[in-house]
Amino acid sequence: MERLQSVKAQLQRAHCPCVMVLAAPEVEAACLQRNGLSFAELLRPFGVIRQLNGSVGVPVRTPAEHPLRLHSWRLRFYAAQTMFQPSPEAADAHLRGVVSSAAADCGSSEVLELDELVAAAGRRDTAGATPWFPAWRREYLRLMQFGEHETLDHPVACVLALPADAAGDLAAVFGTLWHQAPLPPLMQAGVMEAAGVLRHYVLVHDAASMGPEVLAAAQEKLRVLAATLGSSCQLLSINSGGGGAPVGPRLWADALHGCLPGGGGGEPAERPPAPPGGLGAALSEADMSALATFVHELAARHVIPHLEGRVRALNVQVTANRKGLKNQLKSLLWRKGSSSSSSGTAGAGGTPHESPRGSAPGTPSAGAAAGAAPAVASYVSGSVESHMRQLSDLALMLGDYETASATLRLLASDTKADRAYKAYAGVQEALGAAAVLAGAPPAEAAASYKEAFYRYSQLTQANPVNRQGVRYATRAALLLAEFLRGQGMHGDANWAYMKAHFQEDALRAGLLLEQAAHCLLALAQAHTRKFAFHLVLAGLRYDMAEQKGLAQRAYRQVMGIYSGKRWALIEEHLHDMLGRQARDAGDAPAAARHFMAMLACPQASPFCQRLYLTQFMEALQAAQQQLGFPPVLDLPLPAVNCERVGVQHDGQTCYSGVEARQVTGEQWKALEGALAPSLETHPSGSWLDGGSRPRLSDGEEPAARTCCVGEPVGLDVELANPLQLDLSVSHLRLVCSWEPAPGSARSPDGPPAAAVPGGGSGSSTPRQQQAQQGFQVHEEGVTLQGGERVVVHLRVVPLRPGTLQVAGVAWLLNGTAHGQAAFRIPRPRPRKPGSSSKVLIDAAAPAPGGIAFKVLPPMPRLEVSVSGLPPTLLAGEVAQCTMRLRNSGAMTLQHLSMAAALGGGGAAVFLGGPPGGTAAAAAAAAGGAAVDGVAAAAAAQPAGGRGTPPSRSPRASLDGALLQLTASFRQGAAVFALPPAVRLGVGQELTLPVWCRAPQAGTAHFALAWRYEPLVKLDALAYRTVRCAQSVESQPSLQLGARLTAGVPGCAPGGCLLQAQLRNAAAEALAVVGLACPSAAWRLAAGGAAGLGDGSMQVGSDASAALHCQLVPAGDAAPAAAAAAHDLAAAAVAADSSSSGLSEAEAGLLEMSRRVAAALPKHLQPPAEQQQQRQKERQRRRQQREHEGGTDVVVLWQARSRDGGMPRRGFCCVHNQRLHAAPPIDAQLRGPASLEHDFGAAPLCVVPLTLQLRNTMAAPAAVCIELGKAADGQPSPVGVPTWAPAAAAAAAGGAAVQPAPSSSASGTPAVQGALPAVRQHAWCGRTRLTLPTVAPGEVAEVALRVAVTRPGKLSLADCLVFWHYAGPPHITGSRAVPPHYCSVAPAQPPLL
Amino acid sequence: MIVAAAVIGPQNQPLYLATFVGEDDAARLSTAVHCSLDAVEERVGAGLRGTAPGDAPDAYMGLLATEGELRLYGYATNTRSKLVLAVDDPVIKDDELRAIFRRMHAALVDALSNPFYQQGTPLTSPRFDASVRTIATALGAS
Repeated sequence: MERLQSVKAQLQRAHCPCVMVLAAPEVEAACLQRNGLSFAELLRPFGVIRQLNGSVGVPVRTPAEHPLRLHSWRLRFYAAQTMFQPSPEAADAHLRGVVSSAAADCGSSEVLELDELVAAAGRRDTAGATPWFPAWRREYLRLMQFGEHETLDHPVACVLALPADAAGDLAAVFGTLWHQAPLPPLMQAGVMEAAGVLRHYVLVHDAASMGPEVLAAAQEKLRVLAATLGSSCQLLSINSGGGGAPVGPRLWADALHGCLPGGGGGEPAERPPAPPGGLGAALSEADMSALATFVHELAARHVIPHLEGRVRALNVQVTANRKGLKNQLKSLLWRKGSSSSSSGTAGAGGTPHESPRGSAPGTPSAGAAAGAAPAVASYVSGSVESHMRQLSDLALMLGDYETASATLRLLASDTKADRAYKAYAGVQEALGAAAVLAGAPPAEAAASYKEAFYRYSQLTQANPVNRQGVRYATRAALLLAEFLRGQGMHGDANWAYMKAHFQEDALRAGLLLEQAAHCLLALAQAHTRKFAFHLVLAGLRYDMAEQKGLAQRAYRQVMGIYSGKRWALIEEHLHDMLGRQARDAGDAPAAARHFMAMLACPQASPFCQRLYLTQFMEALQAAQQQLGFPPVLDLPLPAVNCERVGVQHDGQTCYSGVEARQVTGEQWKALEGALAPSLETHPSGSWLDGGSRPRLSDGEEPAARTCCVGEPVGLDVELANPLQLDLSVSHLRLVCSWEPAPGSARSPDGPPAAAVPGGGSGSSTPRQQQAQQGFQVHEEGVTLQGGERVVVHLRVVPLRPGTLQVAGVAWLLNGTAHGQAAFRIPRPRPRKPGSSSKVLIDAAAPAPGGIAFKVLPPMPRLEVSVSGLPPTLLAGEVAQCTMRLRNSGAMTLQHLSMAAALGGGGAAVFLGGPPGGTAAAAAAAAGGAAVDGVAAAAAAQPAGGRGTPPSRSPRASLDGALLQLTASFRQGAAVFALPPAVRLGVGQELTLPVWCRAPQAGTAHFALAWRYEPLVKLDALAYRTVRCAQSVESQPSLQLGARLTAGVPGCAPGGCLLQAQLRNAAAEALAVVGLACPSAAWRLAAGGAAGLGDGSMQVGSDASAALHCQLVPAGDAAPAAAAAAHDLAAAAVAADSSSSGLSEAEAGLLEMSRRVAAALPKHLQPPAEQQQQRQKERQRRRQQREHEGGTDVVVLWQARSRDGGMPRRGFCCVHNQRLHAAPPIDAQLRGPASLEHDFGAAPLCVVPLTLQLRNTMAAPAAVCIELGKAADGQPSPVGVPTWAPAAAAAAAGGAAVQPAPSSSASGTPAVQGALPAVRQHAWCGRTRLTLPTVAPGEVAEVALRVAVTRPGKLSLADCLVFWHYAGPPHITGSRAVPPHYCSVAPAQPPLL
Repeated sequence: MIVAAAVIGPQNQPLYLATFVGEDDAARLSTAVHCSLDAVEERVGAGLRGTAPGDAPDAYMGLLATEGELRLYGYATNTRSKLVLAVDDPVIKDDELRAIFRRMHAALVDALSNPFYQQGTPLTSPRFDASVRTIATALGAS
């Protein structure tokens, strides 16, 4: 309500009587010289009368005889020559100055935050956000006064002032003053009525220049004058002050307004400078009191009675001419066109102006059509419309709102009928004011103001050259919006401002848009986005009106609403405008910042991207010139992924290469777990000590990263170029800082050092600077193509122990712009107490924070490299490589051990073994002694390095005894431990032979980890590990399939036949040089493997071959060496694995392969106890299987050397092969299981059958089929075992329904006990068939037919199969085909 | 006809914005769509209601704002994503717009169901873009 009261107060100030002041030049001079004020300005502050007649007030009698009492009032004093409306150009220029001045006062202040704006809007205090608008609005409304179509600003009284010493007939002098004074232009034109103006005569006594005698004489003259002119004569004494401090300077400061060129709006064209003592300096307290009394008496005793009488007189005239039914009808029927209204005579005295008949515009929307008709500009003074308007305005001044509203409504209908739209709009405006002041419903006032707005707008629409209508429309909109805001109707106020701005010029449109935007913040739910939009539009208008400060302020105001919300197009526009404005204002750094924000614009065209980049570079260069140094900006180009940074540091763990980093951490953890001593792998404690999975305690920080002095720390930073242009990024480096360790002596420099991008300090050398900083940063450079994304490895080397903090990266873009970006690594948030959820990552808003490294003192560092590994291998090839170990650290290392992963497709690495690789070579190296298990010899080659090893050299430790490296298998890895005496000094190297084998074709990955300990252990770093990985492409080679067949003729009792099927999938021929069968239950029988011939067998590319060899139980065979015909064959057929032809490395690799094959698939881990039980069960079953005789089959092969040297060697193997008891020819009869036959029609039922034969051996076979003979009725060939199993025999003899001739114990119930049954079936066609060749694995089908003589169940068991393998191996045998059962039922005769 | 279609994320971030007029109007349409979010928030805060008592909340929010000749209509999904259409046709039926929004919603669900799509990032699916353009063109053709 406060705001509404304020609106009412503003309206009351506007609807107060206007008093014209005509002062003689002497009076004006006396006032101006001593007080800096004109006589009218001298009186102006006292026009505000807060109490009329004390608390009693002044009674006023309205025309309707309603008693009113005025308690406070106001008079406006204007010099006569200033009472006109200034020209629009002058007014606009003045208003621009007002806005500029107000904007300059608050231009440097920061814009309010959005929350503050919303809160201010809630308090309905928008002046704080836009202080220039109230100033502009006040001046705008003032300059719109003295309009020709309204009498609000017409003078109701005139004060004529003469000096007290004026000589002559004062009445005549006053008359001369009235007639010679410059009256207002409208009064001269007859629009203002001069006759009804009350004249008040004043003699002004200037006490500073006139003596008391003049005052006495003036009093005498006044008495004479009063006799002539009546009581409206007064004597006023001024300038009696002594020139000291002014009594009330603030009175005039608030009452005076700005001057315009040419004057107008109640103010002169110019105002003399204020006297040294200030405005009103010559006025004493008595003068001030006299002035106040003068104005009070003028108002109470003269103006109010005059207005009261004038209102009553006007009301009589209006009643006589316009009120009443007769006048209404006369006005309705005979009202003429407006063409004659302007020419209506003043003396007509109430004769209504004639206006053309026609349809008046009924709705505002019809204004365009109505605007085409000529409109009445104004009514001349003395017309009835003029009197009505005067009556309503005077009634408003006296507070008689009822009379005012009634008269205005009547006048509105007349002016509307006259199409005097300007007058009509003015009447509607006054109606709105009357409604507001009378407290009418808000809709009534709003409707009047809206109507006024529309009608004013029509004036310009009808005549675009005339912009006066727009100005009045804006005034109406301002009044309407202010009233609506006072009522709390901010949405409607926004509508009013928006409507008004459409046809206004740039400055006023900007101001209106800005207020419209602020209205949106005052809504119940603030429309912040729309506020921003309107403010952006206002900024555009301000920019067009050359109000750069306001435009920039508007944009800055909304930046917070758009920034970071991913509305790229809007942000781009805002930054573009702000950048241009800052550049035009000479603020190059700000321009560079705004242009920088436009750079990340992937949606823009390449032309725009290039343009943005160019203008940014230009602004940046200008900023560098202004600042004197290159600014470091948070450049968006290139886009740096600050949340995902790959960290490579050699703390506890080191990597030997890129491939090692690509192996999953779980695999490395498993390998390092196998390397760890038992105490570390199995910490003491029970399940009560902790859960099965590691967990971070509440608030616990993750383990700090560690690195060592002198060892580089690398960060993989991802850079992306979002543009379609190429970007040159140079001097790319890490931004680091270093602090000494707590408790240690701080560096002499004092504060912690930091690498400042783009800066250097002091005269010290770079090396000294690095030493002081505690680190050394390496710079990189990269050129990013359009849309390219790269990962750059950046390094920093710590030089002193302490804490190294890597805060971000810095770079130089295109050789000009220095950029930097801070890392924002998402950190795990501590879990809530009692929460079972996993550790949360605060990924939404990661806080800026770098990466800290704890820098340890210099430590040993083992570098591992493997050389000699060819890029491609044959599957199963055993490749010898060289592993080079080098201590590149600063301390001797010891206790070396290595773990090689088992798995990954079976790729295995074996450490040790003599060069050469063959058994013979191994025997020679080992002095002919049989190598038991896995033994290795490490050849150490110390290299010249820095310093001397603190203890014995590696060579000395290895040469003493050819060290035995024992492989142990733990946790899926083969672990090799070097003797404890082996130490590597600083810079020393150790070379070891390693053997690699990839059993399967494809990419083979070898992963191994080294563990070592420093000579002097630190608590923070007791040991270190090195992770090394290699990969190699493995090509297909020899493929092996094996079969152990028992019961083959010729085998030793209890023995079996080993049949190895080979297929060479390699692109070259391979030579098979040996067959081995290392097993505890079996050994190769004497005679060797059939097929090897002279000890080797060539298998061409894509060719197949077979090897056959008899196996005998381990305790029965003769020594294999005695029966060997060839060295290799002898080695291959050796009885045990120790002499199987495998070298130590190959034996080790075979053992690894066996363990890989025996490894169970990894499923979900059950609970610990169940897992333990299952492990025991698996061990028991494995032992049982091994005891039952499962064996491995190994085929050794050689390939041509790549470089002409030693041939390549390898082996393929299959593990845990079992005996097969199935016959070599598998036979099965297939046919219908049941059928129906009409034996009455045909005595024989012919059943079609198919005999399927499959050769399960690896050699071709000849097969003979005999039909109609039982298996037990045929003599078996001598020396050829029958393959007929017992089950087959039992099936043949046990078939109760089988009426076979040999089966005397069975028969059908119908013929049981009678003569031998007639054969139930007979084979059709030939009863002996021969298939000369059945290929290995082939399935041959033979069509058979059998004739059935009677219905019943049929068992076909009289089919025998004989086979013959030419060899090797030479096998002959036979078996009965399993019976086929078929049910034959008699067919039912069809029903007739 | 439809001059712009937009998908706004739950955090009021633009996921997709397609304009079917000149590129010069892209910034203006983007701002208009951004402004319409005020009305969306207002209506969502007031609670979406069905067309009849007892009905499920109606995702179609009707006319959100008018910016000059543009009329902006909205649709809110259960996941607080918003679909906004800018139409320059003063005569368009609510039922027609409701059907268009449902088709857009179906296309959006398909696009968001892509397992490789990261929630909250701009929608760059060509299929979704083609679907939206087809829908918009269909209205203009009809």
